Amino acid sequence: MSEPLTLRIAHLYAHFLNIYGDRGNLITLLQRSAWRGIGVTVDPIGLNEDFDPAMFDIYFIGGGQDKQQQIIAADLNCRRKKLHEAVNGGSVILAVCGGYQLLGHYYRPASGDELAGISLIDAWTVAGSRRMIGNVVVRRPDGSTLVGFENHSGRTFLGKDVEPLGRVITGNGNNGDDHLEGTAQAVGRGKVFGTYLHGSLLPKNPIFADELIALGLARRHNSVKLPPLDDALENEAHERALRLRA
Amino acid sequence: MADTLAIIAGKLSARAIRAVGAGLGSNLPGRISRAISPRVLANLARQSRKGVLAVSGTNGKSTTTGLVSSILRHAGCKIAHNRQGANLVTGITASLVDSADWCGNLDVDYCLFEIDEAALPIVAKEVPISVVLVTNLFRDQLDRFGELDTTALLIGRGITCNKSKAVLNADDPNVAQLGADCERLFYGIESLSPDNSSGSPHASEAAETSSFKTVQSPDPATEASGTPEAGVQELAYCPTCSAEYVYSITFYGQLGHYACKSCGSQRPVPDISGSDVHLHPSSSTFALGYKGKSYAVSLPLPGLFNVYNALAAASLCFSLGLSADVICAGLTDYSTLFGRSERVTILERAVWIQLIKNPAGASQAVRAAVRDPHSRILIAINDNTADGRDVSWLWDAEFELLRAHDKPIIVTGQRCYDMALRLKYAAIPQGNITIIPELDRALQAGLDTMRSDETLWVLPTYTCLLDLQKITRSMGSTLSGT
Ligand SMILES: [Zn+2]
Repeated sequence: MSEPLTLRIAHLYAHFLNIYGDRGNLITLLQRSAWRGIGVTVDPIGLNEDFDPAMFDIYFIGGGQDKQQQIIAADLNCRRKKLHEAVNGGSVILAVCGGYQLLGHYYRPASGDELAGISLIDAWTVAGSRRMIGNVVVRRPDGSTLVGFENHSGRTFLGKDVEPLGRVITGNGNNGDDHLEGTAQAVGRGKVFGTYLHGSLLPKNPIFADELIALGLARRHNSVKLPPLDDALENEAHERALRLRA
Repeated sequence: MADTLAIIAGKLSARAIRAVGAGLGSNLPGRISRAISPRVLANLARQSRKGVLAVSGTNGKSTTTGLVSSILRHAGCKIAHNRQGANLVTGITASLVDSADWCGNLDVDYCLFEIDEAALPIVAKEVPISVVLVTNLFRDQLDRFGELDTTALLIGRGITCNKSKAVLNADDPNVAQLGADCERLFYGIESLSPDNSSGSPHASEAAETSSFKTVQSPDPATEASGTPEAGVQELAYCPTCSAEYVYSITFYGQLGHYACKSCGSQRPVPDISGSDVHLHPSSSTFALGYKGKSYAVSLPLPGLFNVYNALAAASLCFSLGLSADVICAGLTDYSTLFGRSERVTILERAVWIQLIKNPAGASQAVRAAVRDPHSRILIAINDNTADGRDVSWLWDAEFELLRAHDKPIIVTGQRCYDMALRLKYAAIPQGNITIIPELDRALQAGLDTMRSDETLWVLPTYTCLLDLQKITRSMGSTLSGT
């Protein structure tokens, strides 16, 4: 009686925003789904490429270099409505670094024009004078930890009603001042995750990876419970990353 | 007078450092000399009779410099060159101080420098460089400079500041755009032989697989992570109009035959070409084309990346007016020096060491290792500053290729668990992943488990390589040449 589970992932701007091992995040979503027998697809969506907002369970937007941000920002604004529609309808977004910045209201560079974001979350980013580079450990509200590596000069600030992804234990996080990192904000029926952590983020954070998979599945499937995997290696890598210096 | 003092102080400190056995690539003697006489580098380099040659770029600097030096020696030239790893301004200064006599005379035809990308404009400001060779510009140093564009800018500045002649890789769009106002010589690969799988002649296919193109997963173990090439095809943009380049052939990374559909700019026609490339487990052959003639080259190095290094070295030497005979002989007789790409014998076992530091280079090294049917593989990953503290690049390298290697793979180094996890997600069976954090124990285990007819391929990051050099020396390694 139960239909086979399927998970549809969209990789936005795969061509542009594919640095810092973003591919590792997708490989992790793919493998952890596949190991559980979930049929999973990843579709790249390029510039000007149309998509159906009802189609995808998870949208992944990676990090990019400064020059590419302008091109992405312009394109993203053309899809603003569709992305809002998708998230409100239950989709999950995971955006890393440059992608994360554009989910807020704007990115203000040190010189030149402001880049408009898509205001999916109440947040904004201002160029900083110092590049924040190094290992990061974050504690999530449920007590679990996230480990990763940050490399950004933009300083992101969250509006007062926006949930952060967690609090920084090691490293800088959103802006180096308020000890917050990323965002995990419910929007309509969906959820928006933004973070400065790459490194890659998901392979060493299997709990978080599974949270995304479960949320993604929940859009089109009822009461999904993911069977556990043997995560001994993932957990060991996570434990060791907790001890890395910033 | 200051120079003589600077040279004496530099030489004395170098001896002192050697006496206490400090590591390779110490920059201290150079720093001391420069503190005494800031002009010492310029004054020494100026004495070279035929000029100063510089080799820069992300991958292949050391091997290319080694190949150039082999050719120049065949041509009967005397050269001064910097030690591997000592490729910043202080290390380069130290190498010349070392080559000069105690009175500050340097008796050489050429100074040949391997120069770090960021150091190039600094050295170029002090020393008029006659020829700058740029091998490629891959992204591996994002945590050093922030952006690839910054690196290109630095190198471009280094070339134009002396109006140096530029020898450039035509197949790398990041490199081919450099030095537009200088005299330029381009090299590139025209074709691989049909039996090599590494090139993709189908443009549209290559472009489409640059991300996971709708990957279904009926068979999780083998299908789930998409095509092996997936994450490694790099996108490149036209410097004139910012449109995405379209490729008719891709070799690896962003190297290939590209054109801009919107403004028509495209890969320059190479002056020096490689074609009919055949790749073997420990060597390669190709046809070297120059001025309408073709010369057969047999290169004692494996992997397409080394064919590029050989083409680069040949091009630099053609630009100096050397003959094709001398160039081919120099390439064929190349024997690897202790360094980033070399064959050694340890406890009567054959070991091939290949430095890895970024996705493109690592993918090529893995490809070469898998092509060797008698290979055993050991991967050593550290995250010190010299390695890059961010190991996320491991996820962009094609470790999926190792699925074809059905023997245990040893992982070691400070970040061996990250590497093990990378292999697990590349669908390598966990039973074939052996984690041994300590490098010396890992190497010993590799040597113990291999058969006498096998070769142990060791793929270390930079500081693992330095540690390996110490360990292999204490184990009594001998260079076997190739
Ligand atoms: Zn163009």
